[in-house]
Amino acid sequence: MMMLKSLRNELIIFLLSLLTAVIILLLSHGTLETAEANKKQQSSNLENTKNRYHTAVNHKRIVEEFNERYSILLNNGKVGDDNRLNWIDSIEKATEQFKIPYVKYRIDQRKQLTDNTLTQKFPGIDIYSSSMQLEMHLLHEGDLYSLLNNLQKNVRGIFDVQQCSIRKNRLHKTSIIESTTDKNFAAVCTLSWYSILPRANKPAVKGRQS
Amino acid sequence: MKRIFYYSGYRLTVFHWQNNECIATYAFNPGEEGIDKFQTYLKATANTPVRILVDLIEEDFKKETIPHVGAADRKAIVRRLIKRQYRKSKDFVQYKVLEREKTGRKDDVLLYSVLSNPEILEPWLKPMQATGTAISGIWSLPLLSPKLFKKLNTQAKNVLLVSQQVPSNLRQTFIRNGRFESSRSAVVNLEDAPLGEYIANEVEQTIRFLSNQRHIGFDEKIEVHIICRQTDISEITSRCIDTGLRSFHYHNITDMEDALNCDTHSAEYTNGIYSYVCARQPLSIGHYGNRKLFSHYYEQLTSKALYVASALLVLLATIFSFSFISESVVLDEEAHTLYQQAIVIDNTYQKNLAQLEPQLKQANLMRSSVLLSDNIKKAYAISPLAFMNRSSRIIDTSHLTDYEITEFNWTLTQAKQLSDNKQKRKKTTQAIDYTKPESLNHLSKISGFVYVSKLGLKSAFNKVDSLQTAFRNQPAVLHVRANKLPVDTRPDASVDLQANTDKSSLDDAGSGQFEIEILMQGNKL
Repeated sequence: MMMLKSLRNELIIFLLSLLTAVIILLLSHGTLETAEANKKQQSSNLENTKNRYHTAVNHKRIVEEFNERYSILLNNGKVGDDNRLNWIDSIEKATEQFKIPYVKYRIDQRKQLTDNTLTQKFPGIDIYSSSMQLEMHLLHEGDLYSLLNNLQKNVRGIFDVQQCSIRKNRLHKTSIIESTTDKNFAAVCTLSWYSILPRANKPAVKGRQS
Repeated sequence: MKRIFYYSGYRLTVFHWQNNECIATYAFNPGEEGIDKFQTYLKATANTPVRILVDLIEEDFKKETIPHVGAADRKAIVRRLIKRQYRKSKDFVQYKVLEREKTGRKDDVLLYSVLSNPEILEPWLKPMQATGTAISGIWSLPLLSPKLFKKLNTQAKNVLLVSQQVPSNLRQTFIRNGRFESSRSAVVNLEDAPLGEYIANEVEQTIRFLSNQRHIGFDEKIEVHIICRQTDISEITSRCIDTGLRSFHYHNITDMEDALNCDTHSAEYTNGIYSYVCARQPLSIGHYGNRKLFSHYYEQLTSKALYVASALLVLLATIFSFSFISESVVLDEEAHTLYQQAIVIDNTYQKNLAQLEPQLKQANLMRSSVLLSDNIKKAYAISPLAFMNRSSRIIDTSHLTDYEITEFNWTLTQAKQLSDNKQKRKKTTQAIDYTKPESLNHLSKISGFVYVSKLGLKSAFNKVDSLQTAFRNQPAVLHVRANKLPVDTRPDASVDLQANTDKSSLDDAGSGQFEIEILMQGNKL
């Protein structure tokens, strides 16, 4: 205690020095932290600016490469919302044109394809699929080819053929040429119709016919 | 500057050492006047740490044998020993284990020195305490003698170092194998005999004492080294005669100063030399004294340490702050450069690309739409009609006859294997994954019948087999499997037939049925 008393001045000076040192360090370190944060901010800002620029350059290149083809797809209705009325109309016209005696069709509710790989590989779009079942009686199997080809060329939409079965009806005559009926074959096909829409444009889950 | 207070038991001599040079000496006689002067000196001079060097007749050196114990227990034993013999001297004891006995209980041989009458220091310690003088330690002059012995350049086993620090005392220290063994101080009375004769008599007495105390054997040779003034050497030499067992060597004070590389400014006695030896001790840990005695020194040390720590704190804080601020300046400059770069890039963007932004936002939409529709269009080429065309060509080139195809099932697939017959077929309306680069394949089942009524079962079987082979031989065909045959001859199938001499009675559509499943390669996406 005596020693502490006699060292009072030294202790006060020491504590003052300690306080001064802490204040100096805190202030200078604060300045450093602010500078670091500022640099980080500027670095991030530069990175964002660069990214925006490079993305824009890249997008410009993409637009230059794909704009024309995209416009064609858009004009042909291959891209955009479902045009189910056009599909129906096209089937009706083709049936009439190729004189197909019997065509029955059913279009299922549209479903969104939500596969992650799909959305990653094709960014910026939402993809929907509508399944269509076609039941036909055909005079010749070539009629099926004509119908599908006609749809592919003229319809405002894009599809693939998932499945087809063609069954030969039992005839009384051994030769189709000698056959008196126009229903020599029965065919059932499943088509998938695809709708490609911009990602922001979210349609209702239930299929919407336009 | 180092201050050494040499005390011989009568007078106190102060030495001021500046490096190797004694820059001032003051002597204070006992008595009220001397003490007053000493106090005035203490008040007048800076309170630099003081080392007290004692050279007292009242200092005993003894050897004791104590049990071999740990340091704490040894300390307790020594304390008990001292308490028994020197009640007032508990703070003025120094001990050291010299060796351990080789036989018997193997006890420790202890050498201890003790100030038998520490009160003799009191008159001088009181003014020092009163003035707050920082005493860093009390050293025993005899115990410092081995340091001086090293400068004598002798290899002798037994050395008796004789020196006169003050006119009235003669100190004889026995050093054996370079190690302190014992010491004796005698009062010099030059009225009875001249110095030489006095020294010769004292040396004889001391050697007898050492022999009696068994420090040396009676027939052991001993070297006597006398440090004295140059003027006294001839007189001492005439009295101290070399014999077979002892030889005398003389060192004048100036030679010793040279050997030690110090300058006492022509001190008449060796107290100056010893004060230098004391001043050169690297650590401020003396031989005697208690903590209370050194409290002012500790205060001074603490005070200095606190000042140094305070200065260091501020200095380090300043250095670190400077470093932080310099770094901040550099970072600010870098941040400014980055800001400028961002401005340049942004200006370029605004100038060339900003107006295109609405269109550019559709870039992904355009690319994805075009690429996906391309992929779907490619898939369209893999159609049932394409498969039928290829199948027709295969069948035509095989010249197969006498059969009829009744049903054809086709599926677009990405499978590379035919599914197990026993497995339930998955729903085939599943959408194709257009991201995967696998081939799109045709999976088809061709059903029909062979005119078994015309060919018979064996030929019908061969016909279907030929049909399979025709498909299998095509490079594009990956797998072919017969699901149904006119006669299933496979080991895991059962056969239930009736032998009939009339083939025409067989039903073609019933008995000649077959179904072939084919997986054919399409185009890569």
